[in-house]
Amino acid sequence: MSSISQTVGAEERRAAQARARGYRLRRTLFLTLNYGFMLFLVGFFVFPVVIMVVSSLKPERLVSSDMRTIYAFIPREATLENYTCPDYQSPETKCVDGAGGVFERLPMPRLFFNSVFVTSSIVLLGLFVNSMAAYALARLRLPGRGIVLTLVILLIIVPFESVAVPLLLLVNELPWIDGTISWLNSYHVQIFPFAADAFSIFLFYQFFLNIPRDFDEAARVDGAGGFLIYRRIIVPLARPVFATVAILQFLAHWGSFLWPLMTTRGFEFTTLPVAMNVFFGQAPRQWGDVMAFASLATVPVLVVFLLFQRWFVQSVSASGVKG
Amino acid sequence: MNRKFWVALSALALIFGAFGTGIVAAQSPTVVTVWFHSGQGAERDALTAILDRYNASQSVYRAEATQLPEGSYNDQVNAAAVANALPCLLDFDGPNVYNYAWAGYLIPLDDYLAQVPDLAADIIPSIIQQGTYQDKLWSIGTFDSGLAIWGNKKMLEAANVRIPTSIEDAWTLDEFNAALEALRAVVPADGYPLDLKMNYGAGEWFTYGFSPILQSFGGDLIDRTDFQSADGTINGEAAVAAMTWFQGLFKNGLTSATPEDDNVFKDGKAALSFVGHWVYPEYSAALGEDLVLLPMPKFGEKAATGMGSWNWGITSTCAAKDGAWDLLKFLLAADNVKAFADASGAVPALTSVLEADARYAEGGALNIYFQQLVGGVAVPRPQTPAYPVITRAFAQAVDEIAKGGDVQTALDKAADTIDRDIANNNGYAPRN
Repeated sequence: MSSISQTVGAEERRAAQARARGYRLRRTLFLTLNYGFMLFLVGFFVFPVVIMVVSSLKPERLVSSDMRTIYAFIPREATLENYTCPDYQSPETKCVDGAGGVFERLPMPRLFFNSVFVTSSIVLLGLFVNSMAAYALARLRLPGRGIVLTLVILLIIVPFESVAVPLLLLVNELPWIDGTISWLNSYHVQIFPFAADAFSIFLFYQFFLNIPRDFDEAARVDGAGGFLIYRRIIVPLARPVFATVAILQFLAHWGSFLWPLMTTRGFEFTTLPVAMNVFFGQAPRQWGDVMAFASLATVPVLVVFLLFQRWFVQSVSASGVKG
Repeated sequence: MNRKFWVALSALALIFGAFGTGIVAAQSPTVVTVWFHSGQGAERDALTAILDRYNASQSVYRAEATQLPEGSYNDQVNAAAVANALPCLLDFDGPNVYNYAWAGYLIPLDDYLAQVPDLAADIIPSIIQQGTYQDKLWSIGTFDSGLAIWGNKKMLEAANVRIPTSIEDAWTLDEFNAALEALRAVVPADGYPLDLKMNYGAGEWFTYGFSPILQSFGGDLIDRTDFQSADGTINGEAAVAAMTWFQGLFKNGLTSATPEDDNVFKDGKAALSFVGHWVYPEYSAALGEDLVLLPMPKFGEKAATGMGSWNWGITSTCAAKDGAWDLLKFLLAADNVKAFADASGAVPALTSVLEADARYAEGGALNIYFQQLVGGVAVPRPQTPAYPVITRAFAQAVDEIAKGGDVQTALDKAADTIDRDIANNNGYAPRN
């Protein structure tokens, strides 16, 4: 009797072990396939960036020829001549023919400052202006509020390209505080037209609607005015939407090309995307320089992304837009 | 007493007023704004040095230069024109001359040039041809371009191919075809006889480089009698024959539509390189004595080649036009033309500079360019404001043809694009 039960027990154990092995095998297989697929996707999305960085570290003569081989991903004969080459004097380098790397060909610190300053100003000013506008629309009982809101939503669908030329003519006639006429070739011409943004107002408005009015009313009973309620109640509660708008505006304006192209000349005020056209003159293209410049211009975007990764994911799920 | 006092005071005021104005004038020279493209480092440095010399040489005008990225130069000029904010002296590429002149961005330079007959006589004919639209001169370049065929002498000799040394004894089509076949035997297995710089991509190079083939066959990009239609010309019998021959180069493995890089000729993988003057420094360094410059072949009854490069014009909105001309005249001084040409490797725009340069003298390495530019081989781009559209349409057709597309269909499409643009702009009738 006991031997029978022992036999049954042993069979059950073996069956259970077999099931466990099968489960582990299936799970391992599933995880392998899963990770394999995810790695494929990572490679798929990352390879343009890898090629960009790797190509920027190669001598010019290898940039194009390596593109058809696995060397496209390997920085063989690594050099910094596409970036800078103050003392490097080997034959067939950019330093010898006088062209130099991107730091010799362009005032890179100035261009970085311009891009960072213009983009940051638009973002910071935009957060203030747009959230205030949305607050007014969401909370104040203004006559014509519905019409204003409709107009704001309508403005979202107007592409910038369609208003670029009239806007150019407008800013060309505007006075500035130093007494000059025309805003062309300045920082303010790149900042002020973009501080107010219909889509940002709409995002703020949607978020503010979901904040219970009870908070406002409680604060009002305690004697708070409109601005104090906005600053002390609304802003702290609306941090996610502030982050969302900041990220979306940063990405949109860091790569802005058309407007800086139309309104700036030279490198004093222009931003990185316009300056990149220095490398797209007469053929042949110096792709090493292009890649070096593109790598440098991508760094701030990566930094912002890594710093605000959590908010970025939230912004995508909240707005359905990923910039 | 009282009257004398006032007379004396007035006289003093006048004297000091005039003196004061003189001081103000001396202290604040008239500003001449200049825009130029950010070309190669040496070219840019040469211009900066010339402008510094100009500012130091006199005190009436001061040149203030702004450098613009070359890739978006035309867009920035057009945006500035819309905003009425063009500079006084503008640098622009050959393809845009006629469009800028037609759009009213520029003023004619004939009267200014007539004031300096020596300079007018010294400028090479191709520069004047390039700058002329509607019988007026709108731009002057300090240098011109050269387009011919670079050859590897060692390979040419190994293949027993005749090396022509003047435009008169240029290869005929049959000779060129035979040369390509003979060279096939001497190039490496991974090479081909002719490098056409297809790696430059479908842009102005395709039109600048390959429209002379069309013209040598007897065709053209547009009917030049009135510049009103491309149909029947760009897709006419001669043009189709030219581009069919051109396509044959790819089909027969005599050239490549996808060169692995820009170094095919330098690395000895091609025996001939069809490209402009700008490669001379690197080709010369790579091949040394084995580098020869061959004249453009006579594909039909006559040879043809391209011309034109970046040039200067004075804008119609400039408040200091005389100053702009003064500066342009300075840029055209022999020393400065030579400095520009040395920096860019391009063909100097003055006969006197060309004659003093051993490279352009008879037997010199670049003498063929000189022969082609002054000997009537060089053909200007069609002098019509439609040129930017013509070049895009033709470059697109060349791209399709090189990739094996139907020649007639590709050229018909180009003709249609050009004619529609001309119709949309009411024939580009003069605006004033």
